[in-house]
Amino acid sequence: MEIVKPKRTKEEARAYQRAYYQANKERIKAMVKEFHEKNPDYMKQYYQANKEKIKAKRKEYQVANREKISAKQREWSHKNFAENLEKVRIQRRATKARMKAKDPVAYNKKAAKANINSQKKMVAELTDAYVRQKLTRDSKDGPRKISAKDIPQSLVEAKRLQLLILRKVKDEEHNRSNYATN
Amino acid sequence: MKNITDLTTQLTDLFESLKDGTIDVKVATEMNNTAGKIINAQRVQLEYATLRKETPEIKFLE
Repeated sequence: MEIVKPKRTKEEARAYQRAYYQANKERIKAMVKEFHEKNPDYMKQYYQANKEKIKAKRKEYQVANREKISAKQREWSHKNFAENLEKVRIQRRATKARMKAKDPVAYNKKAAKANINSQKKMVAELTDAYVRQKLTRDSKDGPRKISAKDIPQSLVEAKRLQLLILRKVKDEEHNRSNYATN
Repeated sequence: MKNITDLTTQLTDLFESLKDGTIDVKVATEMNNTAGKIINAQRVQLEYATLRKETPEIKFLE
């Protein structure tokens, strides 16, 4: 007697597979575990045989789900950064070293550009780090005598306001001189 | 002006007056310069304490 398999749509097939998995979860997990114990190199061999295909699929997923991936990475970072500060630092250093080794010219160019952008942002926003830098920079008398962390926050706030007012005054003078020439 | 909080408040008022145009630019410049000198004076006191390896006790900053 011929067995006629029911014709299913893709969604129906997926739903059927999900339901089957849920009903036989433990048995399937045990089978998979046994298979991998008997074939420890299976995943490695599969990856080597299908490297390009896997990489292409991965890239496709990353491009399609960029926001989702970034959000997950940010969530992990916030959750784990404080607990694993040292681990994260080591990972970041390793990533930088890898990128630098791969293409030192491109890496240095990108790092220089990022540095310039970071400096511009610091100056524009008058960040704490920038204001502390202004307070502790080398004076005319010689090298800096205190470090940034020795400056109390209240002094940093006052200096920030003083710099804001200085910028505003310069703007006003600039506008006046423009108005005078026109 | 007794302490850094007073200085910050006065600088905030100065900034608002400058934005509103209720203060002359020259007057604002001179007041701002004076504030800068006061801030530098505190920095020098901090440097002095650091060089003497002492904990700074600056009333103005309390």
